[in-house]
Amino acid sequence: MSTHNEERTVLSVLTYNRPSVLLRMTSLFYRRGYNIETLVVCETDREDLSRFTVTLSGDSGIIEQIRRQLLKLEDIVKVDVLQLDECAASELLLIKVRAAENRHDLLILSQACGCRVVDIGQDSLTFELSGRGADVRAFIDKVRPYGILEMGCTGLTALQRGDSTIFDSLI
Amino acid sequence: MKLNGSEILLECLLEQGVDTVFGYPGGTVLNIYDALYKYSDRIQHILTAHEQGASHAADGYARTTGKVGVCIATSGPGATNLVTGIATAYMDSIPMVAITGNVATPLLGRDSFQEIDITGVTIPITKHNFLVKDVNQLADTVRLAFEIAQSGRPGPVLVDIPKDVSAALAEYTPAPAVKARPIAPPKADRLERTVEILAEAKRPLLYIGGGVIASGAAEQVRALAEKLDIPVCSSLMGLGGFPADHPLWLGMVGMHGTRAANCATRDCDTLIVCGARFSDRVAGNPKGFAAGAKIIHMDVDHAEFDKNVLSTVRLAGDLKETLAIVTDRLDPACHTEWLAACAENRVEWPAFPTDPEAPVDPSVILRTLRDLTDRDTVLVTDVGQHQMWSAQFYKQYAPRHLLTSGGLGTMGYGMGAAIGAQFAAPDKKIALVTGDGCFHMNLNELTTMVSYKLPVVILLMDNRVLGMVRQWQKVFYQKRFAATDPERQTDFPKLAEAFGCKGLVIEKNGDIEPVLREALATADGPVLVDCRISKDANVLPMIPPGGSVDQMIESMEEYENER
Amino acid sequence: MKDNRTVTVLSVLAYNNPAVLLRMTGLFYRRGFNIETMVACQTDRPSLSRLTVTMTGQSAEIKQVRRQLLKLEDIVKVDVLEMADCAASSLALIKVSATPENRHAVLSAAQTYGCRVLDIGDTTITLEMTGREEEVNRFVEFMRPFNIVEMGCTGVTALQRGDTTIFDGLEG
Repeated sequence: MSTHNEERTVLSVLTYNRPSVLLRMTSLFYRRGYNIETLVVCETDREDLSRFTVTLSGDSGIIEQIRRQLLKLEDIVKVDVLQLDECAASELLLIKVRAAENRHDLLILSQACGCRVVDIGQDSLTFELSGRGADVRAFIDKVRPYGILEMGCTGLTALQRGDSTIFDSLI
Repeated sequence: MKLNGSEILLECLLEQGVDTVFGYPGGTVLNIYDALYKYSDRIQHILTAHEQGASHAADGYARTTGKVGVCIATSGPGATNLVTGIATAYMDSIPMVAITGNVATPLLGRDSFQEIDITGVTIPITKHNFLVKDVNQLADTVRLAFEIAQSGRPGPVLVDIPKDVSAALAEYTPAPAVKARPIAPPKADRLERTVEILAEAKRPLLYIGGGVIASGAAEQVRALAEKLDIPVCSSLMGLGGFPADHPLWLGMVGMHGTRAANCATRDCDTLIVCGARFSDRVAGNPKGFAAGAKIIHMDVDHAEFDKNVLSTVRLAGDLKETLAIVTDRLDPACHTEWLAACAENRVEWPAFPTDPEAPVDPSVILRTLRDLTDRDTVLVTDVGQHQMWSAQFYKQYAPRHLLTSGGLGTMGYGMGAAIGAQFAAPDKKIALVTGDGCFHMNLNELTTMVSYKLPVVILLMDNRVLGMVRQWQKVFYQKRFAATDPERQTDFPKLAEAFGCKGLVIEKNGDIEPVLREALATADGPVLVDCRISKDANVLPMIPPGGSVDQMIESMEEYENER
Repeated sequence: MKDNRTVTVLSVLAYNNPAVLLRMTGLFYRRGFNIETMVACQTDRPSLSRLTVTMTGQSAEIKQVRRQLLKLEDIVKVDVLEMADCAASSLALIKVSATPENRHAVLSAAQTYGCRVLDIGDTTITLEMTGREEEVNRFVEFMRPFNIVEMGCTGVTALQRGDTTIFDGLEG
């Protein structure tokens, strides 16, 4: 949701699992004025490693500069630069929409868009939708006329399509 | 063998060949100082007047020797007082390990007495830092800190050790000194491309920076320049990377660089950049810098490529190795016409004034100092007009003989750095050129020089104003001299004497040589020379920020008349 | 990503500026607060961002975190919620080995859990699972025998159940 440009680049960053990594990365982005769109962190199946997925739009020069700066951080093991369309990528949206007499229309709409109802309030419905930025944005625009009460989005996580993984060519 | 954390720390310093550390004791480093007492026969601890002095001393030590400088401070204010020194080292890529104490681990995060999150504070100004919470990790962490500090592009690393960790016992197993991490050789196809470009170049120019000093590549620069007959210019940080008496030398490039060097960057068709980073003080206008030239950028730090100026070929690798390969593959060449064109832009220095009663010209002091000192003399500077005069008029012949805060521009750097330099090179003459503004910032370290009987010659360019800022006000702010003319009444020779240091005065042209001779002959402690210069002395030439050589101001009178 | 503990959700509303994430991360790091997940997103109001933090500490620690967060100039509001009181979801992408022999088994497991197939490689299948964290974790455990070759999770985003929103009680 947090993007307005589908020409997005994904940085898949493998790091050592240390408490300061997130701080070091956010400090770098902030200090050098790199505008990132989303950043998500998760553990990996290897206890010593974490995975960061960063999305951003920018020309290839900036992205290469960011990649090089990231690689200078001691905690960072590897940075894969991927185009969004090379990735299996999703983000998740929770959205609470005003729903009174029009509740039925909303439910039909949500069903058509493949999203789940995760909570039913007196005057609201909360939906969960997953997909790429564009799908998520399209849904937000569709329910906007009903009245969006609030929403929360996770940011994008992405894996390279096909059989390759972030662990490839790691020693 | 079981040792406590502090002893493990000192054993690890010994492993790395450290025999001198600069620091200041305090509550959370008491354990470490207790161990220093025990290890005093093997590790010399130099007590400065302020932690900032210790950090600059570690930096000066590192710049003089090329080894990792070490400083120690207690938690809280001790640690924050190191910050400026760490940032100075970071900006100039100086290998340093800063060790700080912190409150015991159960007290962390609770705003305990003298607690500060120094790892959080120093993330943007260190290559890396560590908070060691387990004594069993301490030895390997210290070793890794040394490895990181000296690998690739060097820089400062901070190790924060809580008090309970420096007290706790752990098994210590000795290990050999760490080595800098190997650097991948430059890529073959890029080397090939470099060789092609250089073989075709009609007007090539070498632009060197601090990377040449860090990599120890001065000889390789010279070999390439001589074999291909290429003129050489340098950033402030690269001075000493090429001998200033060499016929191919054009001088410093950038804001206060020579006309010859700046014109050459404008006119060259190929620019070979060695360990330099196109800072805004060199390439005021990055879009117009060496416009039209093919740029071959050699650096160990990949992130420098295309950061400020786009290059044609990027050669990542150790400079020494890269330059050696490139030189080896090229046939000797001659660029007589190009060199002659460069030579036309050289500006000769005026002859020394002969009138002994004439007012003191700072350039004459520095040129006289150069004549009176041997080539081994290490010149330390502070920051401002005197720094630029030093860079312009005190010629550098070899690496590691000019210590100056180039990137951060830290006023107050000089006193600490001179202390570090004298401990690094006890047999060399150390001269510090400072200004009255800078000296007022960290003059407390005079007491350190006196305590340790360091024969540093301090040349204080005393114009009673904050000269460089005032010069900018003169040029860009219509002479509105805000806060640059403080009317301080400090009697510097008397101040020196109060510290137990000899104080001398240069008031007129005729004083310069005899007073400098007397100062240089002083061997039992520091000597301060109060050089009373005019407050209207300017640093020229000057390219306004964002400008290029075509906007160079060479005479303040002409500039003012034009306005 | 572990089960069976009381998880607290901090829903943080902050001014949308580039330093917020850095300031929050710095605070957590400096104070030694252990957070489980943190996600950031924009809101429908251009000046505000929403950050959702989950953690498992004692209530005293959580109060401390909340108070420290509220001291940051950029932070407008911090709601402390029990996970159980929230519509809360996270998303996992799981790439599992899938040979021609077991491909069918992988796909039917995916179907059972209602997850989407995002990509089919020569020897792997990438699945997307969404839901409450414990459901996602259960699915991950279920798929483990198939050999998970890599995985990416988003962290939890959460909205309070019912009609209340993070904007309640805000002026303007």
